[in-house]
Amino acid sequence: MKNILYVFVALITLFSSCDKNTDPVFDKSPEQRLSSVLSEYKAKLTQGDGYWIAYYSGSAILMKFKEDNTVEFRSTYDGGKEDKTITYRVGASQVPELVFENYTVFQALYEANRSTGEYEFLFDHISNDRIDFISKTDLGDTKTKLTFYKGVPEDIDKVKAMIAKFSKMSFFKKVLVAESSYEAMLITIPGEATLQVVDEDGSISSNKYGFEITKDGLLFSPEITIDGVDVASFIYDEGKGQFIANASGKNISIEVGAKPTAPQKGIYNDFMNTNFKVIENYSYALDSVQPLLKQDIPLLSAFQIYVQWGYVLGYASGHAGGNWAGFSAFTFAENSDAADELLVAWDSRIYGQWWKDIYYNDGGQKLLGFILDPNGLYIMKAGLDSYYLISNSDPSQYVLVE
Amino acid sequence: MQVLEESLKTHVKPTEMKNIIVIFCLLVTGLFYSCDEGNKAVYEPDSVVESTDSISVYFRENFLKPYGTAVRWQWVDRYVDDSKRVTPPFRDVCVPMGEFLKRFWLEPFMITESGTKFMKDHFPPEIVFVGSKMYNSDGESITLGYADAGVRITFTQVNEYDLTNKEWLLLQLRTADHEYGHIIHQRHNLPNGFKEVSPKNYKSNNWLNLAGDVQASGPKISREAISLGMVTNYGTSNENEDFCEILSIYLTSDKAEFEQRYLTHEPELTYQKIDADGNPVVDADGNPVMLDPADDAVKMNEGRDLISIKLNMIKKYYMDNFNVDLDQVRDEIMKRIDEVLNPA
Repeated sequence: MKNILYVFVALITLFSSCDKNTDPVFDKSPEQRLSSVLSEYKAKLTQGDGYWIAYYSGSAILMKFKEDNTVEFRSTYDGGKEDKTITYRVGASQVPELVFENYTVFQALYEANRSTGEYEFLFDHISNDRIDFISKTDLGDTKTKLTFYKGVPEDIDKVKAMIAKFSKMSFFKKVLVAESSYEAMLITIPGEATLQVVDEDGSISSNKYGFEITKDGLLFSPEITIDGVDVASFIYDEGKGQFIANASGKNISIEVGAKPTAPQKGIYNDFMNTNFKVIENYSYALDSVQPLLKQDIPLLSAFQIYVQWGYVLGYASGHAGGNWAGFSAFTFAENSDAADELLVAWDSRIYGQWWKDIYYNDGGQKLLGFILDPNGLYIMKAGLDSYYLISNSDPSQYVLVE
Repeated sequence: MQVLEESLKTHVKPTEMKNIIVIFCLLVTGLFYSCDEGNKAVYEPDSVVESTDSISVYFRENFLKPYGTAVRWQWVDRYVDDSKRVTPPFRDVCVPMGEFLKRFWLEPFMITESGTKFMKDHFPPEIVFVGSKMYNSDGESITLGYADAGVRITFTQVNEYDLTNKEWLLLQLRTADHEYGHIIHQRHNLPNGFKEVSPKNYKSNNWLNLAGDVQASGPKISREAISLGMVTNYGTSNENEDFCEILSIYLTSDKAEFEQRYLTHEPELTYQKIDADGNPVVDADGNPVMLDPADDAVKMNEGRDLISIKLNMIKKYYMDNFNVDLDQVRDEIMKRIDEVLNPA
């Protein structure tokens, strides 16, 4: 009896182990389904006229994606010199990705800053008017993010107009919240914004954000936190001459001022304590300095300032005639007419073999003109041993030195 | 397993054991027969559509069809070590770079039938173009071109394409000939006896510490390297690199310059100064101007003898195995280089 039971169980198992009539969960193979997703993503990129605009690493990039896998560019980076039509690929190695397959503005931005640039992006979120990407190759938790906004060809010209407007704005920008005592200072350099808030105990807290100029205002990534509220974008109000935003019922404005309310006490001595400094970044009004100089000094990496020794030197490792050249006999003194402001004088001495490449270059002249502002330079603390130097005559001209 | 068997023997009667075996066989049979034979376990990808991009078409016609070589000119990250930082090439330089490789790398070997066979038999299955320098993870130091397991050669700095720039031209050509050398010795081993010529002179990674007193860059060469019997500092790292460096430097150097630097002995005793025209120099009194030999002259000449031995081994190896005359190839390469650097 027990044997019959065993055989019975075995036969049931035999006949029921495969049900040919079971419906598959998906009609297509995994490969077909993946291919379908990729086709859908590509269709999204090419939908309509295929225009998308991205704000990335201090530049605006307008793209036109075409069905034949080519993509055209128009950007604000380096006067559009790197805007080359190339092929793109919507593929998947691990997850769906967008790869720009040959050298164009994204690769140029990558070469300008190999630690943060990127030209391979993973699809993150997709909607009809926006696609969010994250970097494929960044390591760590904080990965480069990139957002495409559905665009039109005119967008890039609007961005250029906004950049032109913004580049003339003063260094001094106040962030205010209507019906609140909140006040902060917003400092912007291409690609980065710093929000400085004076705390109740008088100390200054600073937070940095990615920052881009858009066709109609400003964009922060991550969202900038103002008076407890997170804000991503501001719209420029032409009439008021302010950037405004409304978030969580708060009306927030960025007002552009001419001068600081008061200099930071003792900052001149702090500034002079460290002899060696490097100009790390330039305001929009001065951002042509490096590109112009690189036309004559391709290997130029940065300018160095020796405030105690009185040198302003270009550093170009491998340049014919030596790594350094520039000017000596500068005097970095406290402005006698304005405490804690800097007044720089130059005794017209030169240093190194290729000083002429700097002196007779429009970028070099612009830099010297800025440093030697007859009305002096404001000094503002940027970090532990980093400072902003701001032209008194034209506060839209400023540099970050570290 | 032994414990399980004992346990079964202890608790199962012989008739029950027989039933279990029958049921087991039925289950196994069911397992193999019950599944639908129509299911495909192996994924069959859709057919690949050939690219109609003009650059892809060029490489298909000029490299894939004749040599079975796929040229990777569009960025695919798996072709480059992910610790490196690079950018892909400009579209505009890809076809000119392909023409460059044909004109200066392939064709000089293919002026003979046996050379043509040699190239068709060994040309790498994959060539990768990288536009920029290949920066290492430190962000500063760079890797020049390299070969992977004898199947792929990677060219860097393709975006700097400029045939009138001798430095760039030699960099690319030496990359090609050096890496191709690796493909050859990986498939056919080094020439017999090559490893035994200067086995104690290799420095592994310490080659990086050698000076650049003969040539500071492109490639870096020191008197110490030559004294050790190597043509470049990098050649001192191991016998494989030594082989490839001798090969690539020989093929891309002017005959007289190579002989002067690497083969001809320098004076080991006090000697009379010779002017640019080869005439002995005398002082105001008519006495010969005498010069002292270099301190390392003897060692340098010993090193030159080692280079000479290894070079002859390499030449014989190419002639015996592939019927390729490296002197003939070198002359053809140098003629072509001269044509672009000194156009008539």
